[in-house]
Amino acid sequence: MASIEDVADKVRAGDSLSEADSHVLETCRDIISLGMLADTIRRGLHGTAVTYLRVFDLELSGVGSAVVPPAAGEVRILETPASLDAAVAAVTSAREAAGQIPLSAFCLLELSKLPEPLPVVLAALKGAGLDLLTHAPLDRLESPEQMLEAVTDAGMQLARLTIDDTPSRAWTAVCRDVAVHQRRLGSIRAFAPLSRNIDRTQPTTGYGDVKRVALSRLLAQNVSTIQVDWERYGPKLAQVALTFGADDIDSVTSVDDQSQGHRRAPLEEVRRGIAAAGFDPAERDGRFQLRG
Amino acid sequence: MKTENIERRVLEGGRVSVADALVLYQHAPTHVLGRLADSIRRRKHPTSTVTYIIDRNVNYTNVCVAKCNFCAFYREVGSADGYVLGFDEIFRKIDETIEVGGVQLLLQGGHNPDLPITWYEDLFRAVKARYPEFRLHALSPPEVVHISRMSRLSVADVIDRLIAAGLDSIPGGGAEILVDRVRRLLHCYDKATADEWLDVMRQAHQRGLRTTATMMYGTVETLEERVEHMMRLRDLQDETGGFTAFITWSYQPQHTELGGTEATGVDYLRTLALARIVLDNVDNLQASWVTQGGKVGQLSLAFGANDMGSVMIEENVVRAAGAAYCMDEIEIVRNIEDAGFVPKRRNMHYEILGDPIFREREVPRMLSLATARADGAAGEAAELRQYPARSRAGRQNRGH
Ligand code: SF4
Repeated sequence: MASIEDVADKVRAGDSLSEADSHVLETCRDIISLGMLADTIRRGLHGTAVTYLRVFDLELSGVGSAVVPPAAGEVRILETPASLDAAVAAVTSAREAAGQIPLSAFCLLELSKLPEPLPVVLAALKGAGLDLLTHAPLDRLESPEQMLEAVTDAGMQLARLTIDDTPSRAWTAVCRDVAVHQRRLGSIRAFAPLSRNIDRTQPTTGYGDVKRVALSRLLAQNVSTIQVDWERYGPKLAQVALTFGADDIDSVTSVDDQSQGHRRAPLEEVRRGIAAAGFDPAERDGRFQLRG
Repeated sequence: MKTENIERRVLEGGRVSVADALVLYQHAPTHVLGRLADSIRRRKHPTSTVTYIIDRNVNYTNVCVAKCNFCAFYREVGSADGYVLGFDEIFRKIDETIEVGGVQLLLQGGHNPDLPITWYEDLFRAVKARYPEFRLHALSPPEVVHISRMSRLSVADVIDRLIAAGLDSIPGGGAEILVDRVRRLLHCYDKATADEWLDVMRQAHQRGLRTTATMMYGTVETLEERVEHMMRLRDLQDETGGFTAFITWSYQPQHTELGGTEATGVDYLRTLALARIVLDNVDNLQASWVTQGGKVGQLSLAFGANDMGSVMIEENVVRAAGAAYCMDEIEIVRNIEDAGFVPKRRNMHYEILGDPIFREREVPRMLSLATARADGAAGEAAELRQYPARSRAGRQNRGH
């Protein structure tokens, strides 16, 4: 049976990994070796840059009156619309409020529950000015292939593939699925591997989280960006994840609260955290274009 | 800068110099530091055991004349929020601690001018009379210095009297950074200079007491000063061998006079790893989940820590400065096992006491840490009246 060193040699040589190699990675307890490997791949793809995105979140009820701060790199509507008409209306208003700032909205799974066929929904939203679909929780999509394909067919980008809950199957199998979808579609811009739903009574562990990040980086190398959410997982874990293969930070607030001083304002905290992890912070917008 | 030569030396079991430590911290990638620290941990702890202790972190008073500017916990003498716990309250806390399998109190507090040495002696004797097996890990070096100044006794005499009353070991609190330039800036030079802190530990070790050592980093110190702190501990450990463990944590800035920002999670893991490399004569390194959270706390086990610290049950000091993480025994054990280690309960001397207590009998789950007084009430217990107070407010309060 191959060892982690054997797999590491393959990774460094750029060879593709077999299922047996994946098993070695999955069962590896040596979190430092996994981190080192993932970091090698991550640096090969992105050098020392870590990007971050400042997001202005819009609630459906407040779309009409929203004043979007110019600092926002993306305007995002996360709430689920009650109907396609409501979704289109919200996107139309948000588009107006966002101006040139990229607009993302909604969860693919929730849109698929609307009575209209998904291609119709997506076409209508694109027509209303939507740039990106905010996310698609891979573990909850009934037929991920078709649903992700519908996004591509609509000429829309999926901002991130996400995971809602800790999957019952091996994480390497999830990563390999991500890689397969990407090979077919090529439209997955980012993969955010940490669970969106956080179980407060039995949270995922630090080892579990960084291992997920590292395996995602190693096994889904055709997805450019491995993303962590600064707010959802907290600055400490999000920052450590950067050293385990993540290269992008989502959900930095676009409203900078300076009430506790410049150094403790969210933007500065993110930039400081990136630098303290040994990387160079670079701001991007929702379309993954570097800003300024 | 290349760090390979130093890395090789560390892997071969060699000792690092100040210059080596600085080069490693400044230039070695985070994973390399982790790998080196992990290799030392494995050498020192070849079995896959990770230990933890069930004890309670009790702060007997928040009244303090030291006024360290990094501290969000203390209250001035005469403050309406000031408190001193009564013996009965402390007994109740011990009962609750024993109920969940606890074996000791970590007892620390402010430098309260109205608590004479006899109060500490009476408390320790009373605890030992009621709970003969229960350990008192109590009074950090600055508290010992404070008692010595207040009672006009030498540090040696204070330690002797406290041992006679029941003191079992001394916690390494109040070390902050053992460099006087830093201590002056943090307003903690007066409570104990670096030499005074080390001298209390030296004297305790000479009397056969074991103690821990700590470092609070991330305030105003330079990296050189962090390393100097570690070197001073290493030197004393060479001399006495009395430190059982080293614990480092990041300064928690909220609600403090000093303010500023907290060092990051990566800083913590790097600092912990460096400590494991430098402190080659200290067997045990604890993870500070109480300041870093459970996740980075668990990751500490890959960066040199071999111990998950304490279940704590109660915490007042770090909470006052903004951190409010909680891990009960079930959660600590889950994290240890998830990282591939075997959890074992220990005492302060790192003697193994057994497997997780919740696997032997039912213990209540604890989803948040208790506070000194659940109802937040201030004030002193009635029995304090029998002790002389030094401050005017204290005398008035006790009707003296
Ligand atoms: S750290 Fe300790 S000595 Fe300093 S002010 Fe706080 S309670 Fe007093």
